[in-house]
Amino acid sequence: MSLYKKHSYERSATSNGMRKYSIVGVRICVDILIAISIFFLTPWAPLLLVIGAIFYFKNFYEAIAAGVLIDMLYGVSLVKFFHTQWAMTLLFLFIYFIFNYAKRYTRFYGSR
Amino acid sequence: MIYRRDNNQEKKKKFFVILAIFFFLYLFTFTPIGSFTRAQLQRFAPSVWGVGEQLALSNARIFSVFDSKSALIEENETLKKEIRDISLKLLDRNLLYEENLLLKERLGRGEYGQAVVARVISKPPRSLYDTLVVDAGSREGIQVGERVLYGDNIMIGEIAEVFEKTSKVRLFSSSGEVIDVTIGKRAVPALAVGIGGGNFEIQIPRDTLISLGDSILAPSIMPHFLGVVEYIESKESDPFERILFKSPISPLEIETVEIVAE
Repeated sequence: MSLYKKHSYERSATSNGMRKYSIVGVRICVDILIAISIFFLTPWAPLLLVIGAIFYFKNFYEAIAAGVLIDMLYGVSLVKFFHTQWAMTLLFLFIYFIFNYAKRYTRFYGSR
Repeated sequence: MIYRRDNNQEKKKKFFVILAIFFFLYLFTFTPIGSFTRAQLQRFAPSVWGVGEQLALSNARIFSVFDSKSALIEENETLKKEIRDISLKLLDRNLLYEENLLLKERLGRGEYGQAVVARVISKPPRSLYDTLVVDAGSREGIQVGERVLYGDNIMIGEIAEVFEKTSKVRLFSSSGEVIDVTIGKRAVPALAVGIGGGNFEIQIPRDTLISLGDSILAPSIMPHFLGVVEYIESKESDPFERILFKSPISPLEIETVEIVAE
């Protein structure tokens, strides 16, 4: 391997590693934001954050965890949710699969 | 040469992920793990909400510096006048209430469940569930099914779930919830259906004598107030009429509640 090639290989490996770290960092920040929005904001805030995160990150399973957290904090059996205490978990599960599926067919996020 | 992408591994991975999700949902729903996790979360959640409340309070204090002085004086005067009017009305109401209690006691129905005052730590619209979370739980002797009142007599909901330090309150005004009521002086029985945001709807035969302003009560030896008839929709073609009313207090404004064992 020529010196130039070796350098460029090392450089790209380092930058890939850095990118991975920064994505993990951003992901943790988004997770914290979602948790805060569940505790303090209206229901639309975590919903929009989760949809955005599903598009941005690969396999954003935290979406389902967000649903579980909402159900554990506020959920009671209600007529409007067919007496299930897991309405939000099911909703977020549905959102996760629908948007993950839809993501593949979009120009911007298809490669992620 | 064309390389075909092997999707088998990815499909297997997806299958296991879905399986894991449903396994966790099963664990949380049908085993004690779910109730244990919920209880632990409810133990820690009040302190998080408390921090948020403190932050909001300090924010309000900081920004109150920018309020106009004359607007504050005007608001203060209006509030003072309102307090005067309400305390006059309350005098009369308290006398009647005491007389009512005395009469019930003489008739042998004076015993009434003990009330526990609780502070609301989470209220709508924080979730799509129309629920309140209050800071009284099994430690204070709260039980599922107990009635939740605002003030002394306005019924707003019932206890749906109890934890050690907190309880969840199901509001009767939640969409689809049904409650027995009586309307007006004739105590016409009906079913009130919650339609969300503190509002209710009643369907009754058209010829029933109901008028605007009739009070709507939850029947009991100590009837609880739910609201007054605010709108009546009647059509010639429909044998039923639709009555709309709302709770005197919006779920968004509730700060403290009383929990009463019937």
